[in-house]
Amino acid sequence: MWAIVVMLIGALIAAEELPDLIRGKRRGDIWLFAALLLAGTGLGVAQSLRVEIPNPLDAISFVFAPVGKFLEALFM
Amino acid sequence: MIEKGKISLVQLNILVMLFSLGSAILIVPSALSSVARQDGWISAVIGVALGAGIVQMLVILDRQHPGQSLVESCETILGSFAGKLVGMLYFMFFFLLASLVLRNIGDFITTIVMPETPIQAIHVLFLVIIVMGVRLGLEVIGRASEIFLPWIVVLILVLVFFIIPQIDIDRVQPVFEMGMNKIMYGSLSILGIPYFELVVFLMILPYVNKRQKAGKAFLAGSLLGGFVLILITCLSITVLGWDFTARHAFPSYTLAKKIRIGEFLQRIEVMMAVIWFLTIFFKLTLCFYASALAIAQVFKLSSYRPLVLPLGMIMLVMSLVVYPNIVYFREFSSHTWTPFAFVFGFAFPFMLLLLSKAKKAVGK
Repeated sequence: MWAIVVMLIGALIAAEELPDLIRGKRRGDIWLFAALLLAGTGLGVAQSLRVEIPNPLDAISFVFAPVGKFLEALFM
Repeated sequence: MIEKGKISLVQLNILVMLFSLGSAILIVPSALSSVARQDGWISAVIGVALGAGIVQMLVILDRQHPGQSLVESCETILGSFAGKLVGMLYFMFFFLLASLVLRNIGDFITTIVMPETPIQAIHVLFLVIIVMGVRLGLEVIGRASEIFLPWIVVLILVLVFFIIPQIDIDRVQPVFEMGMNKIMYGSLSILGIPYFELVVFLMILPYVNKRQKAGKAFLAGSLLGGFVLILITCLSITVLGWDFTARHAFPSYTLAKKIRIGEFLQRIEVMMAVIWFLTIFFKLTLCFYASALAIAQVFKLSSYRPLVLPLGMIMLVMSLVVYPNIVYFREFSSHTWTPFAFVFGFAFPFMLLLLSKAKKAVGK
């Protein structure tokens, strides 16, 4: 049910912003907006269907947690 | 220029102060006292002093390219390709920061105020007002900060005055028990939240009136925020004791619970929670605003406004995904966040500053 709500919200956002964007006639603006909206709707649908979404913090922790642990060992 | 609004020096000052209180007022006392125990307040003082140095460095970087935001000056300094790459990294940093702050307020409400409400509902409600604020632009955010400041000041004063009778000064003794090493390590956590995050304001400084004095207002705001953080840390340690402060996820809220004047004035902690709602609202709005502006400037859009709603959708999912549980959050904020924020809040700006100075020297 929530997946449909997310898609509806995506459609509403497109209806709100696209007319102005098309009138502005800037290709780049329209592409970036469309890409972000697709990403947002896709992620929202995936989340509402309880699909496992990779956590960006895992990647950040992979790189930076050893640095933090090293600092802790240095000071403690 | 993508943003046509302007904010005044006073508004900048208030925004910086509210930003540095933001989620820090909830998280920092516990992080400080879990490392430096009863000396946590000394860590806070050292952290704020070091933080002032960082802010000064950011101000100098901003003066190198007046009228250009961080992302735009990246392109001037590093050239088109590398500049856009660093600009995108900054977009991701601001956006991630916004998602984490949204999750902070969601965790706070679901663990303490409304435990039976799904976190999604709280995130959606909070996000709606943030998206509205960001779409209205910087001027509106600045004016809103002026309206809400008196409320925040009054509530903080009420909190401080009503908790004074319960201060037990014995709880800070023995002073310097933990040694300088641990005190210094503790101060890293207050550098991570909020001082390395203040780099967000490099996106906003170009839109301040009377740019010559903007640096001073920036520094003054961060010091004021730092002073309140020191105050809250001192109160948490002297009223709750370091062990209680370290064990609680949100010690400043527990502090507000302790208020008890006679039999008639007690349990006013949810009124105090208004402080955190308002400060976190401004921190979140500024982070989100900076991220929308950053991506619009990287791709040279005519306006950032159309991007706000789609970015809001992504942020909602992001804020739900980032912390699977509270242990993950504690681990992330104690080990990963400070070095990660150091890269964006100090290393990159410092490198940019050196490069831009070198470029100017070679140019002469």
